[in-house]
Amino acid sequence: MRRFNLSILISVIALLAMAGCPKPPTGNTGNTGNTNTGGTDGQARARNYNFPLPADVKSLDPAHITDTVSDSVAQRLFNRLVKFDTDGSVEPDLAESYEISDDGLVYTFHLRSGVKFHNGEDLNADDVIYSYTRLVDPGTNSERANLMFYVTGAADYLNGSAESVSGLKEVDERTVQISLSAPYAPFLNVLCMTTFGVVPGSEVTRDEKGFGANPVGTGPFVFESWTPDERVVLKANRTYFGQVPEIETLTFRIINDENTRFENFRNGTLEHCDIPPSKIKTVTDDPKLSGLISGEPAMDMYAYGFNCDAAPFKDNAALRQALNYAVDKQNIIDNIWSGLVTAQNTIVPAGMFYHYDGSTGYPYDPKKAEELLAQAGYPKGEGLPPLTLNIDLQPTNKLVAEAVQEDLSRIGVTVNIETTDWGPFLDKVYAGNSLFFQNTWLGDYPDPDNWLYQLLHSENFGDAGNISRWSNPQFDRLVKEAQVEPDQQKRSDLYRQAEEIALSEAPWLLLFWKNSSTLVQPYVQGLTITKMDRTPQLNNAPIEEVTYSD
Amino acid sequence: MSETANSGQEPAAAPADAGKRRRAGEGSAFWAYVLKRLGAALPVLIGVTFICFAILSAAPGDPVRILMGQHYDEEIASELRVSLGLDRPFLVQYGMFLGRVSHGDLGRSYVKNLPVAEYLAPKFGNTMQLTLVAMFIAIVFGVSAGIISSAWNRSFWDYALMLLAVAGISLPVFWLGMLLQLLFANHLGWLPVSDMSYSGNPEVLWNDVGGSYIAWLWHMSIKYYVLPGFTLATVPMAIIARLTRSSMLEVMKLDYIRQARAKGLAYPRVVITHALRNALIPIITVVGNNFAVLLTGAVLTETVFAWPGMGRAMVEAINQLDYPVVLGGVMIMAVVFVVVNLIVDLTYGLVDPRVRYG
Repeated sequence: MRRFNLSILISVIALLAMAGCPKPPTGNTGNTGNTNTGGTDGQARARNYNFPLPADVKSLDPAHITDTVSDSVAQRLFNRLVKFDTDGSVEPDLAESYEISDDGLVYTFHLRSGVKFHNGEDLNADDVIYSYTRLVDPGTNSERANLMFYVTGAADYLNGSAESVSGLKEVDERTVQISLSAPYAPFLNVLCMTTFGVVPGSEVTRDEKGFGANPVGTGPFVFESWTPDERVVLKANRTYFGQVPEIETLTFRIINDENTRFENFRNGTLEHCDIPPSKIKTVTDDPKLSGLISGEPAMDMYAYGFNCDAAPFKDNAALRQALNYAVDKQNIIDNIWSGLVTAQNTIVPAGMFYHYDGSTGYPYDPKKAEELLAQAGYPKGEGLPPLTLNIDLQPTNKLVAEAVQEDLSRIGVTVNIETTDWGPFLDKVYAGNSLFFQNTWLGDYPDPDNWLYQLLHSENFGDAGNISRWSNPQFDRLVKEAQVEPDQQKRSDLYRQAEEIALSEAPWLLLFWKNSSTLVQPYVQGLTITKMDRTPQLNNAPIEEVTYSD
Repeated sequence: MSETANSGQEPAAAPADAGKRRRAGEGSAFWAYVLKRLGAALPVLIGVTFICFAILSAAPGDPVRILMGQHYDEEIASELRVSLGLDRPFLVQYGMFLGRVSHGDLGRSYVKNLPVAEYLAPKFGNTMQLTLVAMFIAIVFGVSAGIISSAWNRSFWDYALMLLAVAGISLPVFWLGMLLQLLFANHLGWLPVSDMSYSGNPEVLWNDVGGSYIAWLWHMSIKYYVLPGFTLATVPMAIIARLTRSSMLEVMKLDYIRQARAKGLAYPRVVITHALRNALIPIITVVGNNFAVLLTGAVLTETVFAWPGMGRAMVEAINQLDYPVVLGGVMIMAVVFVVVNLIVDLTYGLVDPRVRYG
């Protein structure tokens, strides 16, 4: 009886185990003469690029991409009319060329001929019209529909008062015309966002909900499979209209833990990876690893915001300036980030046509901070209630907050740190219920408008980006003027005036720009990491140009 | 295990055929018992989902804000809220949820845009595989260590094994996992750092290993189970070892053991056939409990080893306020607990024929 049960149990387990085993490939079983099993030899490498992602993909449908992780995969699947070059300038992509009317209202794009979707269909002007109209189709429920509002009639189409988007016009099979309701100088930059990836109408209408998990684009890589929380596999597009990738398989491996990514990189099973903040010293002290770092200061801000619409920060620029002068940024940069971040002295990051080069921002000056604090009405911090600083749960962010807390306590300002999950954090900050909070922004496109208008214009109060709820009529006017100014030099001048106002009014506590510091295996050639990249997602780095040296 | 050397004729605590007779007579009572227990799971499920739903609704944070990311727009957000049903009152939302579930539909993930069942099923399978491996390791090593410790009570081996067991319970899992990664993956290079299977081309691998199925299977799949399996097994292994030891020591004091020894039976046989079987009941309880806990997903082990299981999926869903996935996951966990507890109770009867169902 007992023996019988045991043998049944053992055979059931054995059967289950065997059923779960992968089957050997049935195709080519001839030995190629290569007996290396490590998978890191030249031949195996040439076939596969292992790309780490810190979280799972949400959707690969351009209309629903809101996070950098999904964007990283989608960038390789879709093309837009125009794209960013590695230096941040706009260059043609699906459009061979384009013209902008003198009044800045009408954009005409001439499409490349012979572009095919991954399913073999030809790309035509109607696919572009379809893809853009779809963004404001109420049935699509795109989280990014507001990006289309620059186009004439887009909002009317979304609220159902128009049959089509009047600003989108198919001139002929190869020509698309887009009309704006008002001139908007950064419009081409907006069109470079993945949201404007062109999708095949036939494919999407067949199964709209399923498209995000089974995308079809025109990009350098073709979608193969997505195993949630595990990996996304893409194959090279052999008929790509641009440079056909040398990589055969691009495998995005979803590894949430930064240390696990790092150990995988050291083990040779990832082609690049980010540097965990806790491992920065290990990396910089290791001569071999430190030689593998690529990257530069990115358009990836880490600062704090003051709620300028509530006491004590409301109408008290001196107080906001005092706190800025009191923080020793260099200490944070050297001791917490080991030099892998760059001090923030401006609001608009470097790397675009406009940058405030000579700005010194707020250098560490506790004396000046104390003077300003007294001027603000709180000599030695007296009468100033303790400030609660809201940050998210990242351990390194906590270390930074503690350094700021200590610096501010030296001038008599008490700070309590409150860490919360991302969701409740956003709720609190967006609703204006926090006085002092973490303020992060990763540039969507390299144009000052994405910083000055989006984050500080009074039109974008709260939810839309200006979480500091700061407003200044003169600043507002300058930024709006710059939006419609076609001349780049004149735009630069306007931005310079606006940024000077914002800097001196100090709606934020400036901290640092994150670097896109990435460890790259020595045999990986041609991986250009740009200022717009956050690592390890590397959204803008052209993976199709990567080659392997042996 | 060592029973293969046993003729099976030595009397255990009760004659082996007693169980057979009882079951023949009470077959219908047995099934009635199983059905009754499964039926009792229904109110448990309703209660669990209601509490979970209530907590999620009361928790701070708005799923739509997280969905929209950097370019929040109130107008579009409210449209999204309507399309996800988030604008309805709490009880209406819960009623709609129950209605869907009664049709076997767990809903659609807000974030992944996949049906919840389709998303969670492979996760549960992956967790199941890892749990089976870990429990196998835990039982084999835990029970062996417990037997050795009790058979040679107060010897060097007893102390050494129990010290290890205490260490096993106390070590933080993520730290142990990272140490194992450093040693076996990076210094020795024997095992992969993480993941569940080979990410390259299986055919290239097949050629690389020269067409040997065992070697291919090892590089393709098996070697990925070793480190997470052992890491996950540590705590249950230690608990099982300690419990086996104390349970065995208890039984070894009883008269029938002394009698068996007095009969002149070999010590190993007394320990294995006579003592272990009677010491098994508490061990089965602990194995069952640990099994159920592991099946609900081991967040830390799965995170350190990038294992695509339930634990990671649930934590991610909670962080992103993906309510349908959280609710679906909680329901699966509740079912797992009910079923595993039932199996544990049924196993008692298999081990000890004196146990009755009813």
